[in-house]
Amino acid sequence: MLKLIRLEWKKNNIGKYIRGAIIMAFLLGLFVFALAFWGIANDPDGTLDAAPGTDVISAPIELFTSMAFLIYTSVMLATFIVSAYKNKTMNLMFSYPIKRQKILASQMIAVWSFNFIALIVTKLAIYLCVFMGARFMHSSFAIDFSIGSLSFYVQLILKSVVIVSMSFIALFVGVALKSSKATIITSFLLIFLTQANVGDFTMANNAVFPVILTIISLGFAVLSIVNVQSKDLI
Amino acid sequence: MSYILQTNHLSKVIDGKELVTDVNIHIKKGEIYGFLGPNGAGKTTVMKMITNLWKPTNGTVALFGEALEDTSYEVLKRMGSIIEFPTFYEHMSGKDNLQLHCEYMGYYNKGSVEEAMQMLDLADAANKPVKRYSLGMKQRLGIARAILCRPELVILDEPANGLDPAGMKQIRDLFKMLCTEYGMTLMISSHLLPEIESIADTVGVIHHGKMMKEISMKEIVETNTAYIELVVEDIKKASYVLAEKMQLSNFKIVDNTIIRIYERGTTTQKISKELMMNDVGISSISQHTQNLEDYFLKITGEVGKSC
Repeated sequence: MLKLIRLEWKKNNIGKYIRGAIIMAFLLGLFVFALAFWGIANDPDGTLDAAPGTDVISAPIELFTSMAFLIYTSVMLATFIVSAYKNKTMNLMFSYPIKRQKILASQMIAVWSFNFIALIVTKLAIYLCVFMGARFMHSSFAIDFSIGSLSFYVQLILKSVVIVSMSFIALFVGVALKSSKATIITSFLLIFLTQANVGDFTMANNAVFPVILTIISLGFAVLSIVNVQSKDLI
Repeated sequence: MSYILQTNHLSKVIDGKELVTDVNIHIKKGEIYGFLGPNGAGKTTVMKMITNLWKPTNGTVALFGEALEDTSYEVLKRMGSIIEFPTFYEHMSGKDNLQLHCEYMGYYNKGSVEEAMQMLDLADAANKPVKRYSLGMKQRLGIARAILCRPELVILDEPANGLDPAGMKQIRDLFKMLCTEYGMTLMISSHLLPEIESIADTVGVIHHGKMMKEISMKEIVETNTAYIELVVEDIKKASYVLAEKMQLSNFKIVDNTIIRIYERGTTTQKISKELMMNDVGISSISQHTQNLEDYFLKITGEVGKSC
């Protein structure tokens, strides 16, 4: 399986995605830094213009990194898998003496693991920047995390798992409709579902919702590959 | 007789439309099998089922003596194929594409990639990205990939697409060489009948999704030969000479002046000499041979239409 994942990265030119992730992480970091220390989210009178409950720095960090990486993961899944169906390179892949479920699983894991690591590294880098910045500058947002606490890292990992896994729902839709656009649009809809708020109501702070969502996402991942062996490759 | 590839009553229905019906194919080890049919006849559908990309609605495929199942993966190690058109990772070079293929096939033989590219005259373009290849080069790269791992069975769907006449000749020679020197079995679909005619041992003709005929080229030559067409002034006298003097029985009077002689072993020289000796005036005498194209058109009933 490791070999298959490595080959997926190689043939899809993973260097391109590494560069993309670095640029995205830098821009996200810059944006969060500007929010926290340059007051770009402040009213003219200098007070923070944030909804109740989102005046802590982890709120914009989680929101923007989640949004960015959910879309990035979906774009990668669209390229690795949906486009392969469309441009018929999947025909070639299915002519190899390898179980088809294994081929698809390797493609999904190749994208998932890359984005999981990239998201964790990006979040860590941003939190670290804010942590360092807060030692020398005043932050408009309350600093609500502790770099030294274990629960910070556990949360970081769990939230990253949920976000990256959610893209499997988008993949399922994309494969069903044979459309890369559908994959990416679904990822946008998932962002609205999970991160947006209606009045005071939001799913973002619900503790059970991420668990349910992860289970659903993994269910969709299984659905994407379960029948591939007995289905026509059209 | 054992076959390397055999299909039994193979049928495929998609959305209620019968794409192929009751197709029986028998391919012997080491032969070149020409799979002929007009566009839309069902050639690619059959090839997709043989390579397990599509599943038959009815019937079975047997490869190397074993029934092809959904879980038949090992058998794919022994096959090379191009179905519809060859696809590549276009940003990668031709050489990298072939190396990637070896990795997936689990085939590690030093120098095999270079050798395959050499065989297909692609050595100079080995390091160029595939997106800069011409259609003909991509086709040759596809063939190189199909034969790279020395498969026992090669399935090629319209391999001559995009090739110039020199390229076609080169590919034809390569196919013969693969067959004789490497013992590979080739199934080649094509609508370019002269290309198949010169290399195939057996041909199968499919039309409107049905297998019309499966026959060896030798049989075509023997059973569908040729005739000598004679245009004479006196048809009665000419018939008398042919029947009585030359003891020929297999000839047909087409009209008042034309006779067609199907008898084997006779020649235009013998006939003209005998007729002249008996004072039968000859306007013209000519030999007509039936090639694969004539045979194909006869089988498919597509005379007068383009293949």
